Amino acid sequence: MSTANTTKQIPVTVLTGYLGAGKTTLLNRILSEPHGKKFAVIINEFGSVGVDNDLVVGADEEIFEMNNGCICCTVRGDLIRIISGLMRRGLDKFDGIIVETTGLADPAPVAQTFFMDDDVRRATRLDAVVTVVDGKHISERLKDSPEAEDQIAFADTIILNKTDLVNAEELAAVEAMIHAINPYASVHKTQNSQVPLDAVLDRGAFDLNRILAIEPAFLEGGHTHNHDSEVKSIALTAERPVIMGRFEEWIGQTLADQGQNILRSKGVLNIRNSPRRFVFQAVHMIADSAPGNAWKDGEKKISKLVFIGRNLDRAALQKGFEDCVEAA
Amino acid sequence: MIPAIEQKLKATAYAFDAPVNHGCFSHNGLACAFGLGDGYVHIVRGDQRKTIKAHTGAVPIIKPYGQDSFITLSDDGTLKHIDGADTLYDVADFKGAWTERMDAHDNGSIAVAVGRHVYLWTRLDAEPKIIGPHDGTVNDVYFAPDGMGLAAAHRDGVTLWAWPHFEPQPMQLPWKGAHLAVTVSADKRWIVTAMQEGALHMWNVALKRDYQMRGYWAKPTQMAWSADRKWLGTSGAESVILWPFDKGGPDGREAMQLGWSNATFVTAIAAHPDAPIMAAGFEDGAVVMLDLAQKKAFSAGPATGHAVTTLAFAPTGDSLLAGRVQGGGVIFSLME
Repeated sequence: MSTANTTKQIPVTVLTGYLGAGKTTLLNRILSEPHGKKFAVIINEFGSVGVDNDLVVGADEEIFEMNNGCICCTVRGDLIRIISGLMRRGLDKFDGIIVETTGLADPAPVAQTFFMDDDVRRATRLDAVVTVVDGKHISERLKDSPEAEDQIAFADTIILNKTDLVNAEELAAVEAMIHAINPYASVHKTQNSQVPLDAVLDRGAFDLNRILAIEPAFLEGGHTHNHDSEVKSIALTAERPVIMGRFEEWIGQTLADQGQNILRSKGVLNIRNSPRRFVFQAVHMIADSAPGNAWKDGEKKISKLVFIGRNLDRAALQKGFEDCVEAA
Repeated sequence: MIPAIEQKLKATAYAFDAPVNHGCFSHNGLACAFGLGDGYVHIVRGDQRKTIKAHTGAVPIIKPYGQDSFITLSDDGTLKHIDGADTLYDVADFKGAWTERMDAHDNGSIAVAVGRHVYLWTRLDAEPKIIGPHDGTVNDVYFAPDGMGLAAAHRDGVTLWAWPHFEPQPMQLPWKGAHLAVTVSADKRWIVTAMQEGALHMWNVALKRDYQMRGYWAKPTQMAWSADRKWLGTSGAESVILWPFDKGGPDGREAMQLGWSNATFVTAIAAHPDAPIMAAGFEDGAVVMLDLAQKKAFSAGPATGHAVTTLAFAPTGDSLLAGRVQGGGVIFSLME
């Protein structure tokens, strides 16, 4: 890879959510609050872009598929075109880019564009996928729309909106539903998308150095799958150290074989003979890993690994992971 | 003219506030133009300099037209004409369409990619003919060097339109994937595209064969044919990758690699009009001259830290212009 990084990488926030969930309200709040920052906003809903209102274009949503037929290599051609357009104007003019996708968009090609396209990857970094969820209607949507499910599965941050329209019981049920699909996203309950902006922007969710730990709470106690969701998460833990070579081989093979079904995966591992955490994450088959923070003295070194996807074989994944762990 | 590229070149710098997106010389070689990211076009005619606010959007492409004029296309959807007196004229407004690729031929034809269609003018004052729709957004258009045809690159292949009617049956060259740039060899035997996945695809239309050339580190978005037509130079790797097109083409033959700058990618390339010489621009801002006959590279411009976006030789062969993401443009004199 090239080491010459002549310009700083601009953080990109991908804003998803089903139609009417409150994305536009959130976007307007981000733009109108007095934070002194300048954002380029790419709005797909209308096939248009607003940069100081001087750029309005009709770029049809277009998926670029590669000749290798790999679903994980699909990128969004329109997004590449628009970001190239921002680069032509000088990206140093902006503090960040916000991409608002259509309610029906598959978030994977959007996220993958930031890893797969050379020009985009060098100029920008994906900061987080933020999904706005309509607390009132999400139960219905999850029954008939795989997109709604994918958007939750892909999220790093979930804005659970319109909580004023449901009672406490309904809210708890919706939270459990979200949790069952994606237990590691941070969830903010809001009305009118009222959320502190630092919960949405500059999250560094794809920055391996910022993944300190996967929230342990979801690993405790069995959570109920109380809807017919196809997408589910599988969390695996190990208390004994993980053997690096075996893990790399296994995870590489697992993502290669099942990357179509594994929407996202994430892990924080205790590697044998290493004082530091090893962190890992992937979007479909595109994986990234690096050493993380050192374990503290006396801290319990538990390895955690999460898969979110369809048709996942829990027993096989568990067996595979256990084989990577040092024998007792 | 055979330039002396091994010596230090005299350089004249032009500072601009916005990134240089694209640049070119006029056909008579007496003027050159830089298209900028803020919609301005900067024109140099001898000692005279003029800055024209041509568009509200950026200017991804500017082409010479007639003897001393230019055609500019903006991604705001407008196409304009700047004549020899630097007067600006509207040619077309594609109302909100995402336009960034255009070609203009010496014979006066202009082609603009607009969504899945191509707008085609045979003269500036004629009504455009609209051809398409193609199988996807048209990512690039390129006139055959003799002006008697047009190649349109899009998703899953290239469509070749033939002069004079550009209808009704264009030739399709299918290959799955996103084709981002296209060029046609002087003898029209070869059509070459640059693809999203860091590869070239080449069709030999005479033999009805095609080849995939993989292994680029980045998208090889810029391509240039050497004056002697023996080489196609391409960007997208740490050196210029030059494919041999003499003796039946590159099938089964090694590419030549020339030029290097601090392990960064080649981002721009241009070919000299008469001599077997090319210029390459790098991601770190360096400009390197390539002598294809002697297989040697010479430094022309320093690594400024800002990527070279565009290079163009004057048709007279005595000057080279370069533009960068930051820091403006440069004109190198190739004659002492």
